[in-house]
Amino acid sequence: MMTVWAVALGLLALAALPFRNIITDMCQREAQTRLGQVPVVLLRLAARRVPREWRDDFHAEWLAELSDIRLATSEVPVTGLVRQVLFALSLLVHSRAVAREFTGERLPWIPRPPPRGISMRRALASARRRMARSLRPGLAPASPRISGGGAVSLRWPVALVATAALAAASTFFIMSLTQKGAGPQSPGIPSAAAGTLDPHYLSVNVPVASSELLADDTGPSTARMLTADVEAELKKLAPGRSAGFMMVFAPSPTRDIAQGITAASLVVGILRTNDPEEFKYAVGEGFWTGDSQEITIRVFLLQQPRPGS
Amino acid sequence: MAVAQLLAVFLADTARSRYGYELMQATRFQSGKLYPILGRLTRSGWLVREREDIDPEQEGRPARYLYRLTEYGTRSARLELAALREKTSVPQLQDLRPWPAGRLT
Repeated sequence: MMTVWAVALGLLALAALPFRNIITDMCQREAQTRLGQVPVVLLRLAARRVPREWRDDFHAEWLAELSDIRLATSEVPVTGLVRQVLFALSLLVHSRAVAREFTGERLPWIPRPPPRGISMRRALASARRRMARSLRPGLAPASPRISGGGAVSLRWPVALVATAALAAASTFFIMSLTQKGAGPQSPGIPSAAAGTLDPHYLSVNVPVASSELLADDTGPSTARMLTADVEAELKKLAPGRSAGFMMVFAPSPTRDIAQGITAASLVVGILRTNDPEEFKYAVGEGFWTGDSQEITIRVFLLQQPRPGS
Repeated sequence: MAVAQLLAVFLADTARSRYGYELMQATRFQSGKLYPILGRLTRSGWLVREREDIDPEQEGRPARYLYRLTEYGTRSARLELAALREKTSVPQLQDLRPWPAGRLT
């Protein structure tokens, strides 16, 4: 039997001999195409690790870069493939860090709970499972029944206990998250001002569009106007007080989130640089919001007035 | 130091927009190291990110995303790099003085 197969294979090889070059060429092209797709697939996987609203944007940028690498290394295919794969692999590993740095948020899709959070999450999941089991009539474990005077099902009391456990677990879980600092991070208040923030905040609306602030020609004058407006409002409403924390919401009529966040962060920097007296201790955070034509600045003041004022 | 290295590339010509691969070649950073820094600088308002305005079919390649220093970024980057240089600079030889005799006992 083996001999028959060996002879058949030999004959097949002999028959294929004249087409050897064609077959080799086909195999080469097949391998080239398949290998060329590897970085593209890796980039697609990397983009899937990014939040949905940013996914297409990042994917388009990375594909353009890949195309540049491909063009630059078209003469050296092996080097080119290695560079493309390294480019895509590096992004695949760091795509969440990239998104986090661009958005400035530790988003819920990043599974980075504190150690205590993990155990609380397990407890929460376990409590939820127990409650689901107790509420499912068909699959519920044999519920104890009190006999005599009519059968009273203990299913609902069990459900109530489970709900209470679930609520307690949720509370602990949320508390553990707040204590350990998970979730969106804000810069800390400087130690000099810690614990002395006024709970009430001032809200200042400045009629400025993000695009005006970011444009090179109108940017400086817009920044001056914004600083003057905020300064005047602070002097009028809270004379002699310093800001401890500010939140800036910058709009983007084109719904360009990056533009909004950039403008908001820029305002934080402008206020800290141009208004050292009021914003000496201030830290802040910039956010994008809506599509209006005005920037909203919320200023949380330090409780004590500035010395000498 | 990585941020400083990247900023130095941008400061070489502040008016010029640069794209990722160009920056990777200039800094020798891998993409996973470069993009988080670009993100941080963009979010802080030091860089502006914009899509290249070209016709991909005509150019034969997709539109790139370009990064450019803002005026605020240029000013801040220069100040920060100067401060860093001051901190890390080696003292000039003429500033070094021998320790007074008898103090190192």
